[in-house]
Amino acid sequence: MQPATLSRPSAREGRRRAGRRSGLVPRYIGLAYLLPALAVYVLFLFAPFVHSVYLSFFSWDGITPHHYVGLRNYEDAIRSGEIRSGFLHAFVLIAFYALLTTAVALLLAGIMGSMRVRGLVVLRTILFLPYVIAPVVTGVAWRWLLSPSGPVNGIFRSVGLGSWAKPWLGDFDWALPSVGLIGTWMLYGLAMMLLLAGVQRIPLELYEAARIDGASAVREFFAVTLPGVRNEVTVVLVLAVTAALRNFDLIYVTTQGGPGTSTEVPSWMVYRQAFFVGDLGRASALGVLLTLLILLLSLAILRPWRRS
Amino acid sequence: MRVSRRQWIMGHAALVLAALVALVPLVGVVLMALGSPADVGGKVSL
Repeated sequence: MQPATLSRPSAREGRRRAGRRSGLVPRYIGLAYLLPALAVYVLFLFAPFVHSVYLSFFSWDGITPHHYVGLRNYEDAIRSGEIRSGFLHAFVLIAFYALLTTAVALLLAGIMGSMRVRGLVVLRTILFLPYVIAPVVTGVAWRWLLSPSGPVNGIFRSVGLGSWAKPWLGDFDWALPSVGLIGTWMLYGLAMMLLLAGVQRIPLELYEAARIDGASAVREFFAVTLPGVRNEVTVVLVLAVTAALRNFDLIYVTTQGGPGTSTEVPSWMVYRQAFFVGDLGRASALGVLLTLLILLLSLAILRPWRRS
Repeated sequence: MRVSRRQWIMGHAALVLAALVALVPLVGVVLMALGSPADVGGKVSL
């Protein structure tokens, strides 16, 4: 008679048997599963990027034969005041996209996590709505809202603040902050959802302990909520910084880099250099610099998180 | 969790304000597009 409990083959043994049956080493079966996604990644992301790096060493208008110029495109890009101001504009957008968005989302998530809110599901859906709308549609809508005769200026005039009315997206001083605010409006729903997931994981006992110790709502937020959502804040910051630096569609629809060059950002400059100026080499160099900047900023944000 | 009445009112006011900021521009654009589509640069019909 057989014993009541049979020894089960180990996972390694199972994999070895499966590999023997299929005639493949198990390690390669795992890689085969990865292959479709890897192929798409290599074909549509990695290969174009490598080609851009290659093109950045040439002077090429897209039609006539290109000729090698070494690092001149990079030197020109770094020395150009116009391109430097483009990167500066991108950092202003980061302030709006990352800092303002995170602050608003933290406040909302903190409120939602700290009290019972009626209609929470409806509220979350409404707050998430701006993110699911295509940026081009958002741009068209806000272009109308912020136009000289649009509703925003109409509200100012109707409450006696007519002097505040201005062509927001056509004003040299206000165009960039306006784009930043539109970006904040687009992103804060996503940021809030991510942070809310973190807030809901914080044990209620921590809040109760803080209250027993006499902590105010503000103290409770900084002592319990904020440390509890540190990981989610990191994710939100990486997403927001990337969105700010990659910002192209919103600029294209709302201001096209104008008025003057007041809302020109690197991604818009890449497009302009490639398709208006006709310098694909310089556009590629700019694209590579932008990619490196995004990579460096993402690593800088993620580094303390990994250490902790 | 129990919160004071003041916190409850302020919290709900902030949430309602945030919801209005998210929703009003969208509703406004849709209504405007239905009312006078030329003003929002297009033609809309239901």
